[in-house]
Amino acid sequence: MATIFSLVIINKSGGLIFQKDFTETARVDTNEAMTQASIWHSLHAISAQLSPAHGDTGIEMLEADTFNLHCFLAPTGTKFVLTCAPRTAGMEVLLQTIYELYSDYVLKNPFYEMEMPIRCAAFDQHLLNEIRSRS
Amino acid sequence: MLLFCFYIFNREGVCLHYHEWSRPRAARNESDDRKMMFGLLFSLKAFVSKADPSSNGEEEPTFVSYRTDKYKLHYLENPSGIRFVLLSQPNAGEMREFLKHVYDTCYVEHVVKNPLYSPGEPFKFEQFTQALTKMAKKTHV
Repeated sequence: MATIFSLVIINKSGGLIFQKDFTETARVDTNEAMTQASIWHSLHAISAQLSPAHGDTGIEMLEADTFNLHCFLAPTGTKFVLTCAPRTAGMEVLLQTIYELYSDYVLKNPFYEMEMPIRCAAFDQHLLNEIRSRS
Repeated sequence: MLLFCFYIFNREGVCLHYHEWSRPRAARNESDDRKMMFGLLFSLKAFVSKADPSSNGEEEPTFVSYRTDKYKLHYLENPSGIRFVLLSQPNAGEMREFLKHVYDTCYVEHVVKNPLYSPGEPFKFEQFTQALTKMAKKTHV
């Protein structure tokens, strides 16, 4: 049983544009989430600079004692950050699916402005369905 | 399984030791590289304790490792503040036991028990390096 805690989407400047908690314990308030998103954005960039090999794009997966964090960096610079329980499989595939949902229901929404907070009901609905079907 | 490099930091951020097996992309400036590594780990520790979704406040969550496209970083911190950092290939498994072993058999034996070593100073001991490379050879084929 996969336990997915939360999803955060960060725009290419490091600003938080979407945040969704899927469990009660994972709830954080918006200001806190925005600070965390900016911190993650910088840590992601530094980890690429510290790489001992060429062509590194940044952290893809972080393991802690109580949770795992998966990060997908789109070619446009948008980051999709998913926190889940340790040893949960299939998170990379889920992130790809979320990216597809993002391009279908957010980017193709004519009222959505790039890099702005996401307020698309269709995206929320499909995202919830996808997460429910996984956990 | 290839190992890139290995750092030891103390609580103050001083890089006590650095060992390199192979590093295709050399750091532009050595001391900047150490400082950036310490800074990154310090911030990552704070980030992980904030980002932890579990509600129990007693146990402080520690970050274990992170993986990027080109490398995997393994981290071990002791209650004394000594931090061990290992950079390996991304397909590496759990290296926590290896780091614990390095602490027990290499660091404690050849560094802490060395009467000529004053804590907080960077060191470069032949015996430590030998023990470290021997253990690395044993672990990764």
